[in-house]
Parts: sequence; C-alpha cells; structure tokens
Amino acid sequence: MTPRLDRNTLTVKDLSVEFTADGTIIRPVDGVSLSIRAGEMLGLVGESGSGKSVTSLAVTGLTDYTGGRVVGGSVHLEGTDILSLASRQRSDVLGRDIGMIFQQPMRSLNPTMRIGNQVAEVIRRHRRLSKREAWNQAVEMLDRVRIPEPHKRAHDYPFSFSGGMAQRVMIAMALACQPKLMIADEPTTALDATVQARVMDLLRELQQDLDVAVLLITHDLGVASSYCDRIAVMYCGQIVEQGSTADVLMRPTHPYTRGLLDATPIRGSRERLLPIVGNVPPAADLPSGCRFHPRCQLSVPGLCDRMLPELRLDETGCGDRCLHPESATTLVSGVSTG
Amino acid sequence: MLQRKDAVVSAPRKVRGESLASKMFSDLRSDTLSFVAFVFVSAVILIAVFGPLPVSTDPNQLNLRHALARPSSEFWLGTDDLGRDQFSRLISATRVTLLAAAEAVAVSLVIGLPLGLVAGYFGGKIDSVLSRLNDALMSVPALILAIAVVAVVGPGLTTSMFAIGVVFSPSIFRLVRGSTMAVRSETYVEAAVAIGARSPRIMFVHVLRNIFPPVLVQISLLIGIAMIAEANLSFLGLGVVPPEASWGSMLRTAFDTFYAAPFLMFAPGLAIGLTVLAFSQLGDGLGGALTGKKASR
Repeated sequence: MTPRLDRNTLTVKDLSVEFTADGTIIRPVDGVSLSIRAGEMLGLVGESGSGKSVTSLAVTGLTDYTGGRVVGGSVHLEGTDILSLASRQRSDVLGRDIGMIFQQPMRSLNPTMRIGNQVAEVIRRHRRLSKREAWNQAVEMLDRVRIPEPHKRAHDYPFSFSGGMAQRVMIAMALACQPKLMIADEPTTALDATVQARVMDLLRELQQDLDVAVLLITHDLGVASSYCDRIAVMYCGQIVEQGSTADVLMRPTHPYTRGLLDATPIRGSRERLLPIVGNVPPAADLPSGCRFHPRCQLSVPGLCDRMLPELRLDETGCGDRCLHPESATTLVSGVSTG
Repeated sequence: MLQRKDAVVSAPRKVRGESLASKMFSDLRSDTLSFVAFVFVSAVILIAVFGPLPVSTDPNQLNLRHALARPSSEFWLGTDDLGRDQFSRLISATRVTLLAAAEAVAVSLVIGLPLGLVAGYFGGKIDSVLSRLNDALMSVPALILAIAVVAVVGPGLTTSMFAIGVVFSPSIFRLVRGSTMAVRSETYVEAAVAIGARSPRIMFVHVLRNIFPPVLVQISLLIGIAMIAEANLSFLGLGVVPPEASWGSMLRTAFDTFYAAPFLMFAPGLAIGLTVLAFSQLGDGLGGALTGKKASR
C-alpha cells in the first residue's frame, strides 16, 4: 500500500463523522479509510443507512452543511487537506477539483435556469472567462456528454429534459473544470435500467478519457461489478471488505458481502435469492462486537459478540473485517457468481 | 435519411424555450376574472404613465365660477369646490397614488427581501435575531406609525409611505424566509454548493429565482393594501400636499362637499375600490397560475 500512496488522487484515513440527534450522538461513519487513483473507479457499496452518502459528503468537506461534524481522520486530495480548508477555500476546490452528481438528476438542476447557463456557471466560477466563452465551453461539454443538438438544447430549461438527459447535464457540470475527483452518489438509481446503462457507459468512458478518479456510491452490486475497478463494502459505518472487483465478487471473504451477493439476482441463474436475515441496526443502537454478528450465519457466541474485528488489508489493498474469513470463503462453494 | 432524422429530433421542440413568464401568462389567460383584473391593472398603470399627456386641462387650474359643477361635456366628472376639473385631477392622481403604493412596496422589498433570504438561508442565530426583530416590527400598527412620522417630519406622501413600507416589510420577510427555507433543502441548491458557488450567489440567484413567484403574488396584494393606506393618510390630510391630488385626497374633498355635490365621491371611490380589487384578484390569479390551481373564490 505504502509505495502507491503518492499516486493516489484521494486518500481518506480513519474518517469518522458524528451527528447529534435528539441529544444522542450517533456515528454514521466510523473509521473509514479508502483511496482512489487517477482514472480509477471505486464502488462504495452498502445498504441504506450504511453511511455511504455521509462518507461522500465528508470527502467534500461539506459535513457541516448537513449538521454533522468530522470527529477524526483525514481527507487528502492530491496533497490538499480537504478537512482543514476554510469554507472560502473549500468552495474554490468544489467544482474545480471535485465534481459531484446526485441521485435525482431532475431535482439537481435549477428549474429556473437555462441548461447552458448552469453548466457555464461552474466554468465562470473557477475560470476567468467571458460569458460568451463560458457558454461556448458549456455547449462543448454538453456535446461531450452526447446531448443531441447541444447549441440548441443549451437554451432550454430543465423541465424539457428527461432524467437520463438531465444526468448527462449533471455529468457535464461535474466534469466541466476537469476535476481530479468525481463523486457520483447513486447516479443511476432514479433512472430506467436501459438509460442507466447508457449513463454509466458514458460516465466510465469520460472518466477514463479525462483520467478522473471516481467514487461511485451505490447499493446496486450489479452496477458496481460492471463498472468499478475496486469495490469497498460498507456496513454500519465501517468498511467490512475491500478489494478488486473480481476478488470481492468471486471470492468474498466477509459474510456480509457473501450475503449481498446471494441477494443479488443473476441473469440466467435459477437459484433462489437468499435475503440477509434481519435489518441494518440503527446507528444509535449498534450491537457489541462485530456489527454484523446478529445477522451472521457464522457468528460464534462468545467471540463475535465480544470482539470488534479490525480491517486487515494486504499489500494490494484487499482485505476484510471478520474474525474468521476462511470459513466465509468455504461457504461460497457451489454458488456461482458469473 | 438525414431529413427523416432531423424531423424526429425536432419534434419535441415546440415545448422548448418557453419561459416561465410566458407560461404564467398563458395560465392567467385561462382564468377570466384574473385576466380582466390583469387588463384593468395594466390600464391603470398606462394611465399613470401616459395619462396626463392627452389631458389638456390643468388639474390644478382654479375656476371658481364653475365650482361644484355637475358632470357635463365640458367637465366630464364635474368640478370640485374650487372649480378644478375632476376628470383631469383623477387622471393626474392616478400617478400620485400608484407611485405612493409602489414606494411603500419597494421599501418593504428592499428591507424584507435580503433579510428574509439571509435568515432563511443561514438559519441558526442570525435567523432567531432577525425573526425576533421582525415580530417586534409586526406589532407596530402601520397607520399609527405613519401618523407619528408625519407628526415629526411634517406632512408629505413620500415620508408617510416610507413609514408604511417599513411596517409592511415583515410580510415580505416572513414569506421570503419561509420559501427560502423550503428551497434551501432542494438538491439543486446542494448542487450549487457542490460546484463551489458562494453564499451570496446561491441566495440571490439560485434561491431568489425559485421563490420569486410567491413574492410576486405578495407584491400584487401589498400594492392594494398600500393604496388603501395612502387613501387613509391623504383622507386625513397627512398624505399628499395640496394642490397635488391623490385618490384619497380627492375623496376627502368629496366628503367635505358631500351635501352640495354628492357625485364627486364616485370617481375617486370607484377608482380606489376597483384598483385595489383588481390588484388583489391579480395576486390570487397569479398564485393560482403558479400552483396550478384555480384561484379560490
């Protein structure tokens, strides 16, 4: 891991975020570490409430915007310590070095502004350009995300765009200033399956062309497995397993990852989907020991409910957070993942 | 082949480029009563701007021989106690009255709009302080303050309407604050933060554009209320300074000569009543057009 560190675009170390709700302190992100290299796409996968979105927000330094606070850890974007930036410097970084796209593309665009002006706004915010030059660049970006007749469509308002088209506009905005990092928070969840594939193909292609690091947040293992280079699985605010997409999918070592895979439909497979028993525990009431043990088939009384396992990563950045990963691997036998 | 492709692509273009303003206008047209109000308000504004030009008679020309003359072909609406032509006074008073109402609303906008944006956008302590101040201001009765100001500064429509505007500002503040709080949690505001836009720009561009429709409705309603306030003040002799006329001061003259010339009260009375009604109906109609519902009446 160490020799690669300097090549990382984004390095997050032991990040913890707390919120205070009704007098009780909850910690939806607890000691998350991850890193992404330029041109790489990391999928952060987990159920609702696992802390994925809070993590992504903390990476942009915008935790305080939602009323939370970072209580530990660090976030570095190519040497810039994001968390130590004053709000003014932070807004200089946002849009220029970090681009973001959101779950609801139609609601992410200001309904009262022309599409071209919205894309031009990012460009004008971070570069000294005249209105006309910024507009022309915006049209160029719209062309790049394959919006048909971009010079005409730039004059339109968001309501005349479909969800897929609106998400393309968002991608154009996010990439307009050629950022180092792009955060995509469930970018295709609100879209049809066919549109989803086209938007993801486009995102992947542009990302590799521009050599941008992408943090893809999704609950959809299918999307993550088709597009990501590496996958990090999150559960209850912690990363429970991390590794290359192939490793995580073919040889999951954490029982939770195993469970997620068993609950994911595979085309052509006649096997029954196996749900993970139980629900994600609320962040205010986490179980003792391993946070997954109440739902884990392999849980050993007296061990798993006492000890919180560490996340052990090997030199390639692969590893998991389980007290007996070997047995999880044996559990895999017979289940195909192709 | 190429032509066919073009035709397919251009099909949905009809909807495009339609601005929100033109959409609002077409919605308004489908609501007959509000559209009539819109036409009436437009006419009143046109009279206020261009009215005095074609009227040849000087509204302040005394003509004591024809004092309190009945309406005739020479004096369409008769003359007042000093023989001044009621019609030309009504026309020239339109501008005075509308300007006075516009001044009050402008003052309340200048105070209420930015403060409402700041309170709604930042929330927290700033919001608490501004909201308490606002509550205090709301407890001040508009006319009493205007009368007190006139007592200190001396009569004059500009000063008294300024005071009215200050007292009206809480209604703008509360509306803007509430709408801002609602819009602030929209994803597009978060997206604006995410592209590095600074707070003033987010407030005055992204938020303001989206809360402007309800503010427009409120402006229309406030103009009506401000006109009544102006009429009140001028009726009490605290507003417009003679010989200039406003609809309120004309009503006062008519009131003083009620037994000798009862017809004098109709023109200014109807002008005030209908214009206030029209502004209020227009506000309702705009509100209906914006929410996609018919005005409730």
